Amino acid sequence: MSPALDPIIHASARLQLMVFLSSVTRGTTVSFARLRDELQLTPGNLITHIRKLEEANYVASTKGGSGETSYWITDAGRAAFVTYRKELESLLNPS
Amino acid sequence: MTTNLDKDELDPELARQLIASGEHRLGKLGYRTNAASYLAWAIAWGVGFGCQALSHAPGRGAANWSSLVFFALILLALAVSIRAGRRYFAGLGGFARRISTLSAWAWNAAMLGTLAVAAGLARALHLAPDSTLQLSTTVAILAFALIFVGLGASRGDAISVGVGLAFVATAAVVSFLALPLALAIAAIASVAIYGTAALMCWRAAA
Repeated sequence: MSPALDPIIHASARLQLMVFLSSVTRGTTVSFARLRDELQLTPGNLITHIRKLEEANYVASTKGGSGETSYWITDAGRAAFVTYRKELESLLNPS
Repeated sequence: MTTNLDKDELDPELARQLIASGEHRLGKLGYRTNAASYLAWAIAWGVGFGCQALSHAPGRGAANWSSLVFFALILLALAVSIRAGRRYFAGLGGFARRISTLSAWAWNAAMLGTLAVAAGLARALHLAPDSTLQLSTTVAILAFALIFVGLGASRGDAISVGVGLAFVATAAVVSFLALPLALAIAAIASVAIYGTAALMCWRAAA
């Protein structure tokens, strides 16, 4: 068990989503198709995990002119991910 | 909302590995993209300037066929760069998209501007074919050098800035040399500079 870790982020698919979205330059959006290809998830799985991140206000979305939805990590999501990484490190390297 | 995947306990060590492998994924793709582009430009400029140096006849400039080869290789390098860039930027919008669009327009403007400046100066100064060729070579190298420095600095891309500065030095050297040595130096420098950049990007992507 790892109770200190944010359960919204601490799931394989959502963690990978947060990693990828936080790795792009601030102000950059990522399309649903690109996320699906990068993370090798089925559309159903991907949308489920994205919704959970959106509900927590970690990720936001916008619909483009082509109808495709794009996502980006919010400031709250970025801060939560920083905290998650710190907690993960202190869990793995207790001093 | 709870999913089946939520029920699987994620091992913290595995979480750390997922972060480590994922956070550089896009950066590595960027390096691979740049490596392909640098390699294409190394071939285009190396062979292009090389053909012009080999076909140069004193007082008459370079042979027409060498200019055609150079132009074809530039188009090929452009195609490689555009394809690699499209793959990297696929699905990315916002800031990244604006930067890629700006970069593409900057390259096109630099190429067209170089041709216009060289042609305009050659006409205004009534330059001989050799002087026109040397002027266009120097201006072309310098224009691309400044674009590399400018875009590299704006993106924090040290390799791009290095390539630009190396080409600034190349343009300065080429402007003082006589033909066909200037063209030969341009060819060798192009292969060395673009080749080194491609190798650095390839290593960074590994």
